[in-house]
Formats: sequence, C-alpha cells, structure tokens
Amino acid sequence: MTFFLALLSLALIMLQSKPDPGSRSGPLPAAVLELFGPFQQGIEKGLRFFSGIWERYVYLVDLAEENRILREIVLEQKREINDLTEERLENRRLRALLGFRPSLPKPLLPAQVVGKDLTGWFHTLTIDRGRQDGVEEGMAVLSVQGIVGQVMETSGHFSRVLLITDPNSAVAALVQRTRARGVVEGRGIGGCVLKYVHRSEEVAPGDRVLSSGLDGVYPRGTTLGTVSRVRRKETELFQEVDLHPSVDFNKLEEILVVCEKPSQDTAPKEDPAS
Amino acid sequence: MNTLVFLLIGMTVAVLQSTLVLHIPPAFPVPDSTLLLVLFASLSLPFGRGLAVAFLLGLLADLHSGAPEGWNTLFALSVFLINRSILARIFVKRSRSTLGLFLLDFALKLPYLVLLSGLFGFPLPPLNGVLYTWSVEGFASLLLMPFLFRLLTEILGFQGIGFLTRKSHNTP
Repeated sequence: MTFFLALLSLALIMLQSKPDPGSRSGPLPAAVLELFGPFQQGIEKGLRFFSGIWERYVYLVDLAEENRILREIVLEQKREINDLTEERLENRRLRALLGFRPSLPKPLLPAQVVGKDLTGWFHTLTIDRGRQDGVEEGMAVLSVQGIVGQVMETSGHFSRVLLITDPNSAVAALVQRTRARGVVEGRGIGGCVLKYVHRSEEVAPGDRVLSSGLDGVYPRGTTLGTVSRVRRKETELFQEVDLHPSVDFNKLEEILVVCEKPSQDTAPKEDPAS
Repeated sequence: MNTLVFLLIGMTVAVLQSTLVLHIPPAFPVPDSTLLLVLFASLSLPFGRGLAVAFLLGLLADLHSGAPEGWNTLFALSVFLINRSILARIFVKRSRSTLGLFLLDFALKLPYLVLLSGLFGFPLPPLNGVLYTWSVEGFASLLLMPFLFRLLTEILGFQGIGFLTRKSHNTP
C-alpha cells in the first residue's frame, strides 16, 4: 500500500506541476520522443511504401477523368496567377509610395508526419524534425492548406505538434471579409470555434477566417478555416462561430515548420492601413 | 521476466497504434490500449509489479500523446487498485467476469475525466464530443480486448479459459 501511495503521489505531483498541456518540455518527454520516433518513422515509411504501390500501380480507376479535371484547374489557376502577379506588382509600388516596411518571407522547414496521438482525447502529431534541425517549442506549423498547429515539445530529431483542433489550442484570428477579431479554439473532433466575436460584428457562413498575428506565434493572414455556423443570442455579448478547419488533418503527410521563434511581444507591428 | 516482456508489449502497442491511426479513416474508433493492458496486468501480475506496470503504462500514454503528465498515470493506478480490490473478493475466472471488469473500468473513465478537468483546469471538448470519443473508444477497446488478451496469454505463457488462463493471487 505504501508503494501505491508513493506512485499515486508522484502522479499527482506530475499533474500539479504541469498546468499547461499545450507546451511541454523536460528530459522525459524528449527522451520518449527520441526513443519511439525512429520506430514510428520506420513503420510509417513501410506503410507509405505499400499504400504507394496500391495507389500508383493498382488503384487507377477514374484516373483519366481526374486528370482532365486537374488540367482544367491548372489552366484556371494559371490565369489567376497572371492576374495576381499584376496586382502584387501594383501593391509593391503602392507600398513603396506610402513608405511601408516590406514584409520578409519567413524561413520554412519541411517535415514529414510520422505519428499521431495515442488516444482520441488529445490532438497531436509527431514529425521527423527536431532541435538539431532548428525546431523549437512554440514555433508555428503550417501546411499548404493553412495553419496546422504549434510545436509543443522537441527532442533531437523529432517534435510533437499540438493541432489547432485540440481544446488546449488558441489562435488569434480575424474574419477576412469584415475584419472582425476573435480567438479560434479547438473543439476536438468538432473542429474549431471562433470565440469572443462581438455580437454586433457581421459574420456569415462561408466567410474565411485568417490568423491575425496578434498572438505572436502564427504568421499573419494564414488561413484557419471557413465559417460553418453562427450562433447569436440576444442575451449574450459575444456570438459563437463554428469553424471548419481548412487543413484536412486526416490526410496530412507533409507540413512546414515556421523556423522563427515566437515573439515575446504579443502585439506585432502592423501596417498603418490595417 | 514476464513483467519486462509485458512492458515491452505495452511499448510496442503504443508505437504501433500511434502510427497506424494515421492511416485509418477519422470516424474509425481508436481503442484505449493502455486501459486494456492495465486490466490484464491487474488480472495476471502480482500486486507490486502490476502496480509498477500500471504506473509506467499510464506514464507512457501521457508522454506518447498530448496529455498532461499524470493524466493517464493517475487513471491507470486507480483502475489497477479498483480491479485488485474487486479481485480480492471475487474470483474472476471466466471471460464474462473479465468483460464486467472492463465495462466498470471504462465507465469510470468519464467521471474521472470530468473530475480531473475540473480540479486541474484542463479544457475538455464539448459534452457531445466527450461522449462520442468515450463511446467509440469503448467500442474499439471491446473489439480489441479478446485479441489482445489472447495474444498476451500466448506470449506470456498463461493457461486457462476465456480471455485469461491463469490468475495470480497477490491481492492488496
């Protein structure tokens, strides 16, 4: 019984001493990450090899039709790129005229997803980049679709990423169309919710929600998701906005780590126009 | 020796599960393998060793996920102690009684999560999300239990009927 009480006390001390599950550091989590990471990487590579054989050589139904659709999309996007290039050049000229500071591109480090959370209660990913690659706790993680999450712990060669769908996650955000500000919080399997948007602000289903950069972690203007439902009650000060994340977390294979330390000053310098 | 092998199996299950979940559809239920292993440990290992195994498996689950350290550890220890207290009074031999123990353990998980979340201020998903995750996890664990227990029985060399084949009597 003494042994039981000793272990129970140890578990309680651990719980009490780690009040923030969103950011974890210490030798034990790093050691576990480093110990199991190579095994996860090996298994993941094997699985990807076999699924690759299936997708590339066996499962080729509808490929011709998919190819035709993709060609049409490419043509459409080429035309859009031409338009955007013109607008970008114009934007640069106008910014130079107004004397704005040019925004520097952030260094991005590509990484592979090798594992997921062991349980269904927390939403994390394991990636094959760690401290030796320049990854540190608190760095933002993106994909081509938008924001994925934030690095919560690192070891020499691996890191664990807290997804934006985890209830411990919070991202400063704004609605693209109306510039209404709020905080995007995770809701587990239910996606995300945009909180603290004043009820007088106009938000509608289909609106795109971006990171505002006010948290000093995520780059400003990166896509978080699309508004799926708005709940506005007469008696409440804030409206609650359900968000469908732009990233498909179940098909995530490659991600990008923003190799820039989160700023201590949580209020980034903004352009006067914004 | 059995204890060490048991721990190694626990580690293997953790690594396999965390990698395989990347390739299964999102609606597919993910089992609570830690709970199943702790249940097996409480049925088969002596008290001291079983307790140490429960602690280590819980800690492994904490460190191998985004959970706060101590979250699963505390639950694993509590489940182990409850199971041993029951086993001190009832001789669990058949698979039906093992199933009863599992259902009890799993039913305890929901109030435990809510209690811990309230005490330590850890955010939980909304109620419908909690209920969904809990029920699908229970269903998946129930499906995995006979296979995992049979595998453990074979590897660790226990003999008998049902999920388990031999029962040790080191009760608290």
